[in-house]
Amino acid sequence: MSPLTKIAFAAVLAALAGGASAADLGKSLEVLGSVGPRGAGNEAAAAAWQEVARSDAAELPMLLAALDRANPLAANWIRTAIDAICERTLREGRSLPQTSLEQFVLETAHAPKGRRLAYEWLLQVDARAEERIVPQFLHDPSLELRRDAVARLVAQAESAGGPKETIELLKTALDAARDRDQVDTIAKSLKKRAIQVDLVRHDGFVVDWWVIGPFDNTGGKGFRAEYAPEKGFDPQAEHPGKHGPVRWRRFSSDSPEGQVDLNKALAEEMEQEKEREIVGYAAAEFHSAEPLAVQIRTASVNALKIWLNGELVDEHEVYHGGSVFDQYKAAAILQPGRNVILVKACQNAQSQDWAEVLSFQLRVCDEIGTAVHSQQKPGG
Amino acid sequence: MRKRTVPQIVAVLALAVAGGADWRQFRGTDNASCSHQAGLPTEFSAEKNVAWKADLPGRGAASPIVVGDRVFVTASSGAEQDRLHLLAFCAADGSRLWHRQLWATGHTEYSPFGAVAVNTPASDGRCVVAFFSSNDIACFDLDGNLKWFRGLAHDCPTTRNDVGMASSPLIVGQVVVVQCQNQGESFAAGLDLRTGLTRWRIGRQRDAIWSSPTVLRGPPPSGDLVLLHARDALTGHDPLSGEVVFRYEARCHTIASVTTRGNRIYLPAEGLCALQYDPVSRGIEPLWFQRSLRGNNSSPVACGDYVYQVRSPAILSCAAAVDGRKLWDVRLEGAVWATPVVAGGQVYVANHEGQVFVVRTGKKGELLSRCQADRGMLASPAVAGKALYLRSHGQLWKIAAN
Repeated sequence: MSPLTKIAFAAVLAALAGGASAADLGKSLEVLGSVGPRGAGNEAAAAAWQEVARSDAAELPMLLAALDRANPLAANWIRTAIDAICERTLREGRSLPQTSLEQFVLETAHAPKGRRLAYEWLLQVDARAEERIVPQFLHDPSLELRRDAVARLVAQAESAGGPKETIELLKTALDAARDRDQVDTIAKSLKKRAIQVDLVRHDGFVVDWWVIGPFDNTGGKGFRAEYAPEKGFDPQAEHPGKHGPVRWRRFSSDSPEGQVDLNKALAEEMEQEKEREIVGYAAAEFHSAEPLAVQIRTASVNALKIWLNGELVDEHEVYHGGSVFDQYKAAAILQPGRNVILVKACQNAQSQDWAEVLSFQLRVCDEIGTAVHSQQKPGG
Repeated sequence: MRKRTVPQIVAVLALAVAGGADWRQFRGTDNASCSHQAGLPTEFSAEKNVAWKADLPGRGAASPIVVGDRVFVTASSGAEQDRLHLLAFCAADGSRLWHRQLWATGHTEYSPFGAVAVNTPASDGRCVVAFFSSNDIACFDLDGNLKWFRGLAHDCPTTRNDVGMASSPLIVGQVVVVQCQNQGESFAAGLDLRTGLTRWRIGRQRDAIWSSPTVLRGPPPSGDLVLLHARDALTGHDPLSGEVVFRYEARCHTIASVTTRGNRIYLPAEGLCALQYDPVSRGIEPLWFQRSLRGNNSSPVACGDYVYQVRSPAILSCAAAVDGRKLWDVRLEGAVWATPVVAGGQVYVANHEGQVFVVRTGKKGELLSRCQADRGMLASPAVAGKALYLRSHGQLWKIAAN
């Protein structure tokens, strides 16, 4: 039985106990949950949305729970109906079910987005809820709720009685912070107080690599070409490169942002400084104690391909379109013991100064961005 | 030509009259940034001619649109700007009528001073289509009831731009035209206004383009064309099928959009290029090219006998529509991203710092006033009902005579 069918079933049971409308609501929710890519189910959903949006606010916990298993498209159908119900209820001068909303917010088993939605509507009817429950969000799986708790702690730190207390509060906030802007703000505050923060460690950037290159990317063909490093990582191997044989060499990034600068790493093998139309590879050994679901997050202005243990997990054929922290997120499974992460970074022919960059950032983390570190020093 | 029945004519006229005072999509209902509305203030300040201000829940470079007595505006918020908002305000008093939020299903990267709410919504007078840089698109009726939702990047995950996408949707008849052109999977599509389903889809070159589709009005009911431009060409398309009607090769601007007036097309390129469309042959002929009207990133404006273009660094230029002859320049200040609007004999230009320059137009241009609105203004103003609507990252303002 699908999760939405279960919700529908629960609605029918509720209807038998208290009225017929809950059964209809369950059916309508199931229709909303059935929407799919390319607009599939939109027409039926439009009618079902009207039914759901007419619901009484007492049904909010059930509607919020439907978000737990909804796909991202269905979640928007359900969410907008919830907003419509809450808005109408308040406009009519009635209140929202405060107790059940708060209970929903505090149950971390529910989907983070649904909990945040419940929290925001709870604030509309209970302004003191923030004071009461935000401190509980410091290590919450919902990043949005956690963010509020971190912000609150940072504010407390700034107004704390003494420097020692301030530093302790900031350290606690940093430990909990996952949003980049908050991490940066806290790190700066600590630095002002002579406390250095190792952001590479905090974020889990991989900085110890083996690199090899350059290979040819004339006309952008290198992105699709399967060069020897893609067939297996052997740090002792020699391969034919763009200008002759090339070998793997160690390279450790000393960038505070974990940037791996391949222009620097491969400078000796390049025909000219910051050579265009080349491909560089970087490989890192990453050790895990157990099978682990992780995200491999990268950022680069160069076209990228990422493999984990020989399996392609991410690729982006985009050149110099911009780069931000955690630009790309790819789900992957670490195997117990040794893993090999392979990065292919491609440079195109653009001649502008700003297009000379050939680098990437890569970190391994869980789904909310908590760093996952290699269990053993690479190569150690 | 097929004969029309009286009810059909009445319906068309009624729609035209009803929509005449509206500002229904990016740069106005006809994408020309031109209003014949008279009576707009030529100056405003904190104490004068600001009818109301409303706080917005997030950032945005999307223009407001006005449909009847309602003003619609989008915004984006959250640490990752993945909370997408559509709000309806009462035009009379600025009260918020409803607010809907969506969660982005596509990518939400954007340039530091931009937002994910950069694409101006569009309306046919009955519903509002909100589109975002994340390539999420939703249609609501005027009361906030959801009619359909699509995650275009959910369907095509490589469709993204890491400094944001900005192309606004265009409603032509019963079709919503979107242009999603970037270094990933690129396409233009016509979505059914009633259901959101794809009526047509054409591949586009993989290249970052921020310009918006523009309507070239033709004889009703189905004579309109949709104009799309990429880096190397302007193309005219049948809005019902996406079929290419004409192609004109030029080195086009990748951010500014095409403007039309009648059968005249103003194409931002390495200068401003005026073209004439012939609805009989369905062909296109160049009229004039004016290199000195090379724009910054805002789109050309066509209104009456004149065309206008903001050029770097913050110069408003006016030229004769007939031959492109430059008539005057007025020096402005600051960074101007927003396309100006012309209304009641004045040109209104907003800069990023929130200064609004009011320039009297005609054979000569004259700077009438420099007014201060909210900072962080990237959106082109809307004009409706003797009022100017301005939006910054934080606020929506209505400017109207006290």
